[in-house]
Amino acid sequence: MNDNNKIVGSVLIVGGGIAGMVSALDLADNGYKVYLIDKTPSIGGTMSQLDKTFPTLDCAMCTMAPRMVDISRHPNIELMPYTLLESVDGNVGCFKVKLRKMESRVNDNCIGCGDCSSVCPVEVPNEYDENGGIRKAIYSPFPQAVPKLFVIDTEHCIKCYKCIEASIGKNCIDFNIKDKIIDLEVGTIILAPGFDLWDPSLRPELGYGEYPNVLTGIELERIINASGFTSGEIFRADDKEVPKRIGFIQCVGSRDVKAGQPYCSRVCCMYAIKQAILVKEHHPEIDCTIFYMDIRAFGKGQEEFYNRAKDEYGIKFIRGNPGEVFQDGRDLIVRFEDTTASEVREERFDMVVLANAIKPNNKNLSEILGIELDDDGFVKEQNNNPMITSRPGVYVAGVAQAPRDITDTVSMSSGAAALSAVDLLSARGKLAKEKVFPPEFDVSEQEPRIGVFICHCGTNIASTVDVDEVRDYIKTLPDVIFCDDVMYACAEDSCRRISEVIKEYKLNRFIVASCTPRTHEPLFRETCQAAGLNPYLFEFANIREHCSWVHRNEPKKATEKAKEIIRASVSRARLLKPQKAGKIGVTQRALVIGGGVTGMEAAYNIARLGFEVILVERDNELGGLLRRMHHMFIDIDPKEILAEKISKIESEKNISVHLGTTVEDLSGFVGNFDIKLTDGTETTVGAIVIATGCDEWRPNIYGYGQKDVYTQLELQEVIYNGEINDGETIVMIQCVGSREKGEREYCSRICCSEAIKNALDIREKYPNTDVYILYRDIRTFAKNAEEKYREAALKGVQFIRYDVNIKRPEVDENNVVHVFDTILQQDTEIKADKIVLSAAVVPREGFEDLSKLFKVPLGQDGFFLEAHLKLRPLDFTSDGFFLCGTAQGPKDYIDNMAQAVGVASRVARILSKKEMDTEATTSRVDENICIGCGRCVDICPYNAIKLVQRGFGVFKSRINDALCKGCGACAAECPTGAIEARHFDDKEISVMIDALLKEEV
Amino acid sequence: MWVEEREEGFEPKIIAFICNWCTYGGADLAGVSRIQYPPNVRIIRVMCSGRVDPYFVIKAFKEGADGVIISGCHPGDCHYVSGNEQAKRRAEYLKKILPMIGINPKRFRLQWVSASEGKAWAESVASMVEQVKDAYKEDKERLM
Ligand code: FES
Repeated sequence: MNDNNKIVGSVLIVGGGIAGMVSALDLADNGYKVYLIDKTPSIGGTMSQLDKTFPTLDCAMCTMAPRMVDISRHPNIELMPYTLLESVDGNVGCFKVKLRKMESRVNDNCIGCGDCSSVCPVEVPNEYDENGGIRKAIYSPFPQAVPKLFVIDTEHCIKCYKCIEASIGKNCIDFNIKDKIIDLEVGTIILAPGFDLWDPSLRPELGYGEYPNVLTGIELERIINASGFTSGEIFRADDKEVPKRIGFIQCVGSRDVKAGQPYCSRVCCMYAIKQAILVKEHHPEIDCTIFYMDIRAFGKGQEEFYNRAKDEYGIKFIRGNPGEVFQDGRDLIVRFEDTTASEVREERFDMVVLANAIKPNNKNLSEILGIELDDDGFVKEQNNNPMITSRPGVYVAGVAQAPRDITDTVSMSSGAAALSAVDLLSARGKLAKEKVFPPEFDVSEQEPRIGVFICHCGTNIASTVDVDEVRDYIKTLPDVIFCDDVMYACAEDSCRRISEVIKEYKLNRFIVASCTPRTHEPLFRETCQAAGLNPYLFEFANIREHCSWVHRNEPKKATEKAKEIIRASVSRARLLKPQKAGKIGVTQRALVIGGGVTGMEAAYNIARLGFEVILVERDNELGGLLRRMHHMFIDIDPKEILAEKISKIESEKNISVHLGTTVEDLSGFVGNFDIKLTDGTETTVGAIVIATGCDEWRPNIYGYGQKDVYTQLELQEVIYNGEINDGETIVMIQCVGSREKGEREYCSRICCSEAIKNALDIREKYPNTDVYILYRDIRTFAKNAEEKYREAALKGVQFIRYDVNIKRPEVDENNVVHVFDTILQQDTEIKADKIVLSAAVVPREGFEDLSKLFKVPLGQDGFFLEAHLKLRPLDFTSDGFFLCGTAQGPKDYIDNMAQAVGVASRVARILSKKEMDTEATTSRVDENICIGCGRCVDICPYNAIKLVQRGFGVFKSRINDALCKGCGACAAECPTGAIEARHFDDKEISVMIDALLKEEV
Repeated sequence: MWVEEREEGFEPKIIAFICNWCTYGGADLAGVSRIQYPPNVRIIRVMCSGRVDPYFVIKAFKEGADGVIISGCHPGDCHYVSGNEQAKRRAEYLKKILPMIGINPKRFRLQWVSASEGKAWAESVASMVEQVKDAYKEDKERLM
């Protein structure tokens, strides 16, 4: 076959941060082989350094760690840490890439025990802690690193060979390892290299690098982080005192043409607010002050978060531009121009935190790949699709294209995965593997025969717990047929031995007493499975994290404790039963609700992934809100976009469009929903996407309804029809109906850019008009938006800042606008010929009905509520339901496209399988005992339980296996013990209680 | 009687039912961070704090536990949406019932520890040990 039309079913992902991880998991789950490379020894990227994420204050590591483990175990993902991209040849479908695996001097025998690191005498500042803490020359960057692989930093290694001594017998360190070049063929490439930060010492007047207590945001993050080098204790670098006053300075190097970053870095306002809140949570007495130009709290839940920071936490916000930071005794003085008072003032702090700009990190990759960058050095997107680069088959995800937060990055990463999958559709599954296991042997009639491995974990366990003593004791317990100690239970050879002894001793239960099931259970379960034992017959005893590591000074007590922990596991193991996940067939068809641009794009991409799509639109035409637009923020004619999207929909034979139609009824669950449409169609779909879009609020304030008062959308019509006379005075009012507590607290996200674009349009066509924009904060965070803001100001658009806490603007019946200008500190009156209201973006009518029909939740703001704001913005918690676009919250065209394409990838995770597993450890009802009281029905968070009639007046609970997630709340609630929480049933827990408290078992 | 069976200065034994998603992670992190705490606690892992049947708590006391902890995710963080709310509701009535069956409610505690709070987990164990010792003193005084 000719290389030009060869399609390879694999993808290279450059960068293992959250962007690369999301793309990798999506693709691997959809039947593609993934090579995930990262230049550092671990995946995780910047997110792994974060303490909590805004605005939900979720622990970053807790949300991402399970995904890191998923990646490390995925049969279709080859993790290649410490590896660089060297060169790329070829075209989409078949790129020939060269990778450089850097010399780490540690080979694949490494099991991450860390013995080498503990003897290494070299101490180097730890990059992961932003150089706050130290690491050794042989190291793994952080405790939860994946892979848990050590590397030698050849720059600092002094070749004392102590590490080799410490690891004798393991053959894991080899100083002869050199850089290795690896050649691969891949079908597409996804770039997710993340970003750099601007060096704030380039603004020397702010004192970074000069004063030890002037930090950057990420440095403070590592200090606040409980797993950081200060264990979360906040203190000053020099005198170790807890600061009493912390000042946060925003826009350091961002929105700064001179500094080279004319753009907004998009995340700094929110992370500064988050950090201030975290500081307050640690130490309520610390005063926190944030100096800002505009607070850009535009994303979902962010304005609310900002308000909480002010109202609940008492964080001070000063609108002003600090020009200088200097030290006076032990104090840091921030000198700033208070723009609300037009005067220069000073404030004293003990610590100052700079929000330094995000910078692209693309130069090298763009040269290797020959892809175009924009003026700022970010990847230049093509066709208004943020994932598409100038080279076919090369996609981009995350900050490499422009600054964005985790939520927006995740959507985009799924988008990049979807586009790769489309390119490689004909090779889907070709390189993907399914794990295969031998048939399981039947243990139901057998007496328990238990095997136990007790792990030394190098010295991790054995230096505290007397492993020999524990082993000898466990051997005496009934039903323990085999018990031995091992150096490392998780090492390859130990796992092989587990398989052997299971066979040799005909064991039907196996226990490993070592570390935590949270990281290692899948490994041992699989090991058992490979030996023909059902994975649920495996039991874990944690004697490291919960014993040896935390009782290092009490070896006797720790040894006793270890015995009891394993004794309880033995008791439980006797009762373990094999569990099997059910299988259900999947209908490979999707329903997309909403025929606006987002819905169309989603439908188109799902169809291109090879699935049938039913596209339902309430109106009689496709196009949604875009039909009312004449000019969008991105410089392209909406009519053109609309025509292009519609023709794509029409050309896709997999899509059937139902206009003037809504969903009337729905039943069933993921994989097989039965739907009924109002046009009479009845069919089954495997997954459902809500892309219903949003609406513009019809204001009831600021004289709306009077002649010459318009909304921004209406203004587009006015401009288009040429209904403006040159020389008119036009006043725009921002945040009309948005950012109003108790009403619509959220920011509508698009209005600032919209207003600025419309203002520029007017000034261009009618150079003698006067255009005023009355604003609270200008939130031009998107790519090129800050630039347009600057352009508007230069071209004479007049910006007047108002503050609702001082005085709201007023519009009288003669269309005179009264506003208190907080910058000039004076009342101003403008007689307007036209008044334009930037009315809020609001949920569409009908969201509530849809939410009830589908049992998917709406958030407080009235928009649909995603499964996880950061990591699952396109999924609902209920399996099989997805969402994208403005149905989830206001967003602009580019962000909508990322979500619309991304959702296709999420949908494909379900539809690409012919069958799917149901949860194996669901709860079960014994109908003989159930009295039909319905208490379980009331508390089940998944609506998985129903009462079914079994006779006249006789009701019994029934649990739907496909919906049950196995939390066991119903079993605890059941007054008669009729519900069995499988794998955590009453008996198993009871015998553990007994075994932990009593010697005789 | 509990008090009579224990000697002054005894080391209380505490059973902790902890959820897989948050507190178990927190306890793991305490280990990874090598935060030392008293070896008095024995952990029983459940998927969610909502799985803990009040019967388990009473059984643990009956079998000789000096203290019992239920520990789950912070409100709003439960991996199963609302399991910790159920745990809270049950803990509230447990606190009412325990004195009726002669158990000082100080010997029982419901708490929230997230997967990032290794230190909080370690501290919670230490403080529970003290709390149980206090309960012992209280009960003893009451007896005398
Ligand atoms: S999972 Fe932690 S309390 Fe429910």
